[in-house]
Amino acid sequence: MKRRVACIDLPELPLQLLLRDRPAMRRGPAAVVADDRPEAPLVHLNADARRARLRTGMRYGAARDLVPTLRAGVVPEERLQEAMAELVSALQTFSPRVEPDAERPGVLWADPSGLERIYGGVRTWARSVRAYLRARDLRSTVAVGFGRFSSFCLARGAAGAGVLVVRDEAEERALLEAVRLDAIGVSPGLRDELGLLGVHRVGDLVGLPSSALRARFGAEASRLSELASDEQLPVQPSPFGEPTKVALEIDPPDADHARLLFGIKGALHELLRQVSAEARSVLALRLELALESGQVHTERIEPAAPTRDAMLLLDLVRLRLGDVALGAPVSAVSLEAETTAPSGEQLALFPSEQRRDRPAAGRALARVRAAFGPRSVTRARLRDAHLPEAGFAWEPLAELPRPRRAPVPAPEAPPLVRRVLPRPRPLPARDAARPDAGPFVGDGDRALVRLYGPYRVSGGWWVRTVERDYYYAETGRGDLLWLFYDRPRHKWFLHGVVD
Amino acid sequence: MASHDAVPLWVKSNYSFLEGASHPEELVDRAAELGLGAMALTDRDGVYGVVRAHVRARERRVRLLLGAELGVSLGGERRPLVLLARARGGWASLCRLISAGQRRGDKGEACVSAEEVAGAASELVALSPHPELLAPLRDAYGPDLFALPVRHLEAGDVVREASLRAEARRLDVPVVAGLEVLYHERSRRPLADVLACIRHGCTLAEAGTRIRANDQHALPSGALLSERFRDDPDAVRRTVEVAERCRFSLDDLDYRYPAESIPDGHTEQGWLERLTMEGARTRYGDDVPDDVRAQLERELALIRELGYGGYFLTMHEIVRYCREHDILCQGRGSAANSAVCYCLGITAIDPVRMELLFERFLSRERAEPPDIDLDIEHERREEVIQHVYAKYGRRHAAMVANVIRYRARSAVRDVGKALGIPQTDLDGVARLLGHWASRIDLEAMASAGLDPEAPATGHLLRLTVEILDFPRHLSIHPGGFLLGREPVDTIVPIEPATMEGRTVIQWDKQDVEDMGLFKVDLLGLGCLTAVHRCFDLLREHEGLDLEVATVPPEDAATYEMVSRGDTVGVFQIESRAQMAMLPRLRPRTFYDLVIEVAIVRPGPIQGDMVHPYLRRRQGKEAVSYPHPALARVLDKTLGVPIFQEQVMKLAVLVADYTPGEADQLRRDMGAWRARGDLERHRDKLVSRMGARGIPAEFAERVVSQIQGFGEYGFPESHAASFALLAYVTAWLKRHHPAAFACAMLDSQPLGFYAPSTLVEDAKRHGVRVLPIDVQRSRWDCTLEDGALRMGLRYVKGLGERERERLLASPPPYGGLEAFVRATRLSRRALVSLAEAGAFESFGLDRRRALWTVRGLAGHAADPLPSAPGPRPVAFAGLGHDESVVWDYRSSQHSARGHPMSRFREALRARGVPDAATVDRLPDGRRTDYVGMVICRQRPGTATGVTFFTLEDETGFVNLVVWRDVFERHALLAKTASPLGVSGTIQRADGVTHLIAASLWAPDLGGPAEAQPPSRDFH
Repeated sequence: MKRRVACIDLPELPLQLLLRDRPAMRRGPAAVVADDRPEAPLVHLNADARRARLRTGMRYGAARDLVPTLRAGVVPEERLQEAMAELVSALQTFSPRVEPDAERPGVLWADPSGLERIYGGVRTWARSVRAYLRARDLRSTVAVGFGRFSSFCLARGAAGAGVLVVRDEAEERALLEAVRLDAIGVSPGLRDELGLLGVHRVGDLVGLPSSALRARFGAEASRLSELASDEQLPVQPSPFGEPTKVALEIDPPDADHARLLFGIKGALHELLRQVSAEARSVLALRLELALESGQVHTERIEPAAPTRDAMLLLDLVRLRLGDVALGAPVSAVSLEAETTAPSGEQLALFPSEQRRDRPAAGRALARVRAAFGPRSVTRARLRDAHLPEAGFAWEPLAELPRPRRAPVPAPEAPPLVRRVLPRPRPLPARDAARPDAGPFVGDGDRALVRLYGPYRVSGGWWVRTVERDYYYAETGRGDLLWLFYDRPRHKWFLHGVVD
Repeated sequence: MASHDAVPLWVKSNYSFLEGASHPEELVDRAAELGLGAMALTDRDGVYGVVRAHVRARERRVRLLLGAELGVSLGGERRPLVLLARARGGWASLCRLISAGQRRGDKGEACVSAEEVAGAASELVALSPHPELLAPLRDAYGPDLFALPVRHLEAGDVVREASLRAEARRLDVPVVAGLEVLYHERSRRPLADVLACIRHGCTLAEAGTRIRANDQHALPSGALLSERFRDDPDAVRRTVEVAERCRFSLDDLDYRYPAESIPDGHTEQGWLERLTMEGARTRYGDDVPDDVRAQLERELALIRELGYGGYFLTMHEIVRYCREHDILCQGRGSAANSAVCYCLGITAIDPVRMELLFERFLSRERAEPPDIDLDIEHERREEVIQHVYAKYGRRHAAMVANVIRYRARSAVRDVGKALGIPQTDLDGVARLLGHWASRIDLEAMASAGLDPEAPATGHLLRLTVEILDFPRHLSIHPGGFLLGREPVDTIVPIEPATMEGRTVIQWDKQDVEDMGLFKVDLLGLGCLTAVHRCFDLLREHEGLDLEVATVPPEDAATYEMVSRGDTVGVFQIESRAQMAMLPRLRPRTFYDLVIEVAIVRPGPIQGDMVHPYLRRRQGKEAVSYPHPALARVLDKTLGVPIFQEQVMKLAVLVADYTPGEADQLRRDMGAWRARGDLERHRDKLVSRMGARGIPAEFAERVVSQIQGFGEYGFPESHAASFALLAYVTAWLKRHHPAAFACAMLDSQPLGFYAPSTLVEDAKRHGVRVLPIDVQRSRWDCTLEDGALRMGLRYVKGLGERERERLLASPPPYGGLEAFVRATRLSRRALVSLAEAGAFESFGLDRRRALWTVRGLAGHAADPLPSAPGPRPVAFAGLGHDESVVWDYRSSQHSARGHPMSRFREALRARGVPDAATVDRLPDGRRTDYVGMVICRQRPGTATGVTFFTLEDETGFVNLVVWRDVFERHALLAKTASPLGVSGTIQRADGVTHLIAASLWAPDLGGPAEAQPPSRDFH
C-alpha cells in the first residue's frame, strides 16, 4: 500500500486572514488588494464582491467606481508568513510531518500515515483537521490521496466538499483527470493559451505529448503534464525541517542561578553540536525558563557576531540571568538557536592580529547589552528635521562602526558646544502679565543681560502646531543659554546651554 | 521710512512650479494692499507667470520688475541667482539665457554656468544670495551686481549673511536687502509645505528640511523689510535704487511678424493681393462676381491698414506646402468669415455666399491679431510642424505652451498623498469628483469614507481648495505656433518639449493673446485623413477623381440618409445625440447642416434654444424676435440664437455692451469653468435687456446659453467649416459605402464608434466584408472587387515592427511554414494571427494553426524544413458562433457575423425583438430588448439621464435610463454587455427611444465573451 499524502487547502488565505483580522469587512463586498495604491489590482474577492460583478485583476479604483461600498485591505507578506507558520505549528498536532507549500499560501501537506488507529481512520483524521481549522475561523478542504500533486489537485477540485479521501489510485486518477486547470492555480497565461486549444482539464493535458507541450507552451505545461502522468505518481513529501532546539527538565525545580547555569551548559553543548552538524553558527539564542508557578520567562541573547563558542554564549546567558529575579523555581529550560551560515572570517583559525580589536569591542558591548538590556548601548543618529529635538535620535548600536579618519583643521577659536537638554525645561516669565517680554533665569549676575535672536522654527501644523522663537541668552556672569519662547503656549523654556 | 520705500526683489509665484504658493495676481494684489510701489517677479528658471502678473499690475498700478531666479551650476551644486531686466535688451538676454539653460537641464529646470551668466550681463541686474557667485560676476556686471542677504529668522541666516557680506566687502559689491518670497501672505505657508512635498515626492512627516523652517516667506511690507534690516538701512534703500534701474515692461516688447519671402519687385501686401485675386479666379472663374470683388477689396484694405499681410502669406505658404505634399488641410474657426482666406485656399467655405461677416474675424476696433486655425490630416500633421520649424528656424518658431493645472481630482490625490492619507482612500474621494469638478466639499470626503472629524480630512479639504487652478507643469498646446521676425527667444524663453523634435515657449495661449502676439494653429483632424484615404480609394478603384471642393453639392440622397439619422462615421453628426436630432431637424440644405452641427452643443441646449428652433422649423410656432433690433442678427436661425457670435451680437445690440465689454465676454466664456468669471455678466445682461423690454425669462436663457458656450460653443463660421466635412463624409458614405468604411477603418482611432460598429454598419449598408487572411490582406484594410477586406492592422498584438516585417515580405506564401520563414514574426504575433483565423487559407482551422505556429515559432531561421511532429494531435473544431467570439477577441470585430446573432433564435423564442423590429414598434408599446452596449453617455445637460446605445446584427436601439432606474441597476448599467432591458417605446418625429423601466443580465446560455468596446460616459 502506498503512503498516504494529505493536502490541506485554505482557499484564498489572504482574504480569510483579512476578514478574520477585520471582522467589520465581512458584511458587504470585500477584497484584498496587492498594495496600497488606487491602481493596485484586486487579488482576492469575497462572495459579495463577486456577486457585484467584480473580478480579480481589476484595479481597485475602477472597482470602487463600480461598487462604491467595496472595502479592501492589503495583507502583507509578513502576515501571510506568520499565518503559515502558525498553521504548520497547529497541524503538527495532527501529524508530525507537515510541510507548507513554498509558492502557494494556504496550501500545506501532511502525512497521515500511521495515525489511522488513533483517529479511527484517515477520513476521521481529515475531518478532525478541518474541524480544528473551522473552529479557528478558517475555511479549508482536506484531500487525502497518494501523491502530493494529485492530493493538491483533488483538494482544489473538491473545493466545497470539505473532505475528500480517495479509496485507491484508480479513483484518484479518474478524479484527477476531471479537475479543471484553472482550479489548480495554473498561471493565467498558460491556462488561457491551453484553453484556446480546448484543453481545460488535467485529463485533456495528459492527452498531449509532453515534449510537444514543452516546445509550444514551455516548462510549466510539460511539468504539469508529467506530474499528472502515471509515472510521476505518487510524489513523496519532502522532509520536514525541525528547529534547532534542546529542552531540559529540572527535577526538582530549582531557583539557584549557578545550578541552573550548570544545567544550561550541558544543553548548550548539545545545541551547538546540532548547529555544527548543520554547518551553521548561532545568530541568537532563545532561552525559555518554565517556572513552577506556570509562568514562562523568555530571554533573547545575541552575541556580537554569529558564533559556535559555548563559553562565550554561556557567559552572555550568565550576565543576562544575573539581573533577573525569577520569582519561582525553574522546572524546565528550553534553548533554541537562530542560526545562520557562517562567514569565512568567523571560522578562520588564525585571524591576523590587529591593532584595533573590533571583535573584542563588539564582545564587550555584547556583555554590556547582556547585563543591562538591549537598549543600553545606543548611538545618536542625525535626522533631517527643523525641530532641534527631532534633529537626532538615539538608536541601538548593533555593530561597532569602523572608525573614519577625518582631517581635523586647527580651529581659529575653540569651538562652542551646545548641550541639549533631554527635555526643554520651563522657565518663568520675567513679567507674568507679558510673558513675551522675556524669561526669568536668575537674579544678580545670573540675570539675563542680552538676547540674540529670534530664530523662528514653526511647523508641524498637520499634527500639532509648533512655533518657537529661539534665542541665545547671555547672563551677567557670562553663561550662554539656549532658550525659546513657545508662542502658542506663551511660555519660555530652557533647551540647552552653550559652553 | 514710508512703506513704498522698499521693494521685494526676489518673489516667486506659483509659476515656480510646486514651490511658490500664490498666484501672480495674488502677489500683485497684495503688493497694492501693502502700498508697495513696485515688486519683482522672479520665478524659478522661467517667466511663465509674467504676463498674468503684468496684466494685473497694470490694473492695480503696481510697477512690476521682471526677471527670474536661475540655477547657476557651481561645483555640481545649484546656486540660485536673481536676474532682473533693466531694459528690453536685458529681457532678451534673460530669455536667451533661460532658453540655453532649459536646453541642457532636466525638464522644466534650467542649468547655466557662471560664465554664461557673465556673458549675458548687458542690461541685467544680478542679485546673489550666495558669496560664491559674486567673484565670477563682478567684472561683467560691475555696478549691476548686488549681494542679496535674506533674513527669514532662521538660525543659519546669520552665518550665511556674514560670509556673503565678507565677500561683498572684499569685492566692493553693494548689499541689497532681501527676502525669498514664496507666497503673498503667511496663511499660505501650509500650502507651500505641501507643494514642496509634492515636488520632492514625500509626505509631510518625511519632509524634514525639504520644507522651509518657518512661515517667514510672505510678501513683506516696506516696514517689515526695513525692520528686518534695521541695522543696515542702506541695504533697504538700495532695493528702491535697483527698482529705479529696472524700467523694462512687457509693453516694451516690439513684436513683429516674420517677413515672408516674396518675389522681387513685390511688396508683402502687393503679393498678397495678387495671390488673392489669382485664388478668386480659381474659385469663381475669370469673371469674379462683383460682391466677391468688393468684399476682397474691403478685406485687403483692412489687412493693409493693420499690417497683417505677412500673417496671411504665412498661412498661404503652409497651405501651399500641404497641397504640394498631398496633405489635406482646411481652415476652421473665424477665418472662414474671410473671403481672402477662402481665395487663398486656407478655408473651404465661401463667406460671401454664406453671408458670413468678415468683422467677426478681423476688425479695426478690436485691434487683435487674426487667429487662423488650420486643420491638417492627423497622421501627417507632424510633417507640417517640422516644415514650419525648418522654414523659420528653431529660434524664430516655437509651439505655445499649455499649462497643466490642478483640478479637483489631481488636487485631492497630490495633497492627500503629502498629508500621508492612504492612496486607496484618496482614490475614493477623487472618483466621486468629476474630471472637471471645481468644487470639493466635506460631504464628498465623508461619502468616500474619510472621517470628517479627523484633522487630516480638514487639512485635505482646505488645501485642496487652495491648490485648485495652481499650475502643476508645462505641457504643449495641440498645435499653436508663435512665429517671430526677431528670434522668439528674445521675447520669451523656449524650452524643449517632452515630445521629440518639439520646442515650446513658456507662455500659454491666453498669454500670447494678452500680449497681442500672432499665433498659428496647426491642428490634427482625423476626418481629413479618412477623407483623403477615401478619395485615394475612389481614384484607384473607381477612377473617380474628387476633392473636397468637387464633391457634388446639395445631394438629395445624402440629405435623405442624414435625415434618417443613418450617420455612423459621418463627421460631427454621428453621435447618439446628433442621430436623435437629425430626424427632427431633417436637413435639406447645407445651411441646415451648419445648424445641426451647432445646435447639439451645451450652449443652445443649456439656453433651451433647441426646442423653440425645432418648433419654428416645423411650422408649429411663429417666427418672432425678442426685440426688433435683433431681426437682422437672428433671421437665419428663425429668431432663435444658435451661434456664439449671435449671442455676443445680441449683448451689444440689446444689452448695450461696448465692443470692449463684448470682447471681455468672449474671453470670460473661454475661462469661466476655471474662474467663474461669467457671473459678473449675468446681472448686467438681464437688467439691460429688461430695460429694452426683453422678458427676463429670455434674458436668463441667454445667460445660460452663454455659460453653455463656455463649455463648448460654435461660431457660425466654425460650424460651417465642420458642416462641409460632415457633408463630404455623408456623401461618401451614401454613395461609396465600401470605400468610406475602408477609409474610416484605416484612419483609426477616429470618431465616435469602435471599428466593430463601423464594420457592422458597413454590412448593414450592403458592403461585403471579408475576413483577415495573410494571403489576401494588406496591413491596411483594402477594397477587393468591391468588397472590404479587413487589414492585418486589426489583429490585436501586431504593431509597427510586425507591420515592417509583413511589408518586407508580401504575399503570396507557399504555406504556413513559408510564411513563418519569410516574415520571421515573433511567436506572439504568429499566435495572434492564428487566433484571428488569418491562416485559414492554408487549410488550417484556428486550433490546428495555433498548435502548428507554436511549434514553428523559433525555428524560422533553421536551415532545414521542420520535421513532422511525434504524432498528429486533434482538436475540436470551432462552430460559427465560436468563430465570431474568437474574431472579437482577436481583432475586436468580425467579418463573419455579429455576436448577438448567435442568440437570436433563443431571444426570438422568448419574444425579444431585434433592433430593426424595435424601431418599428408603435409609441407606448412595452417591450423587452437585448443588445450589446456600444455607448453609455450621461451629458451634463441631461439632468441625470443616461443614454445607452445598444447594438445587434440589425441596427441600434437608443435607450433612455432615468436616474432612479440607473441607480436601481447601477452595477448592470455600468458593466453589463449584452444588456437586457424592459421598457416602453417612445416615438416622436421619427426618432425611437426605448425608455427603460428595468435592466437585467440576460441568461443567454453561454459566455458572452465577444464584447465590442463601449464608449462610456464621455
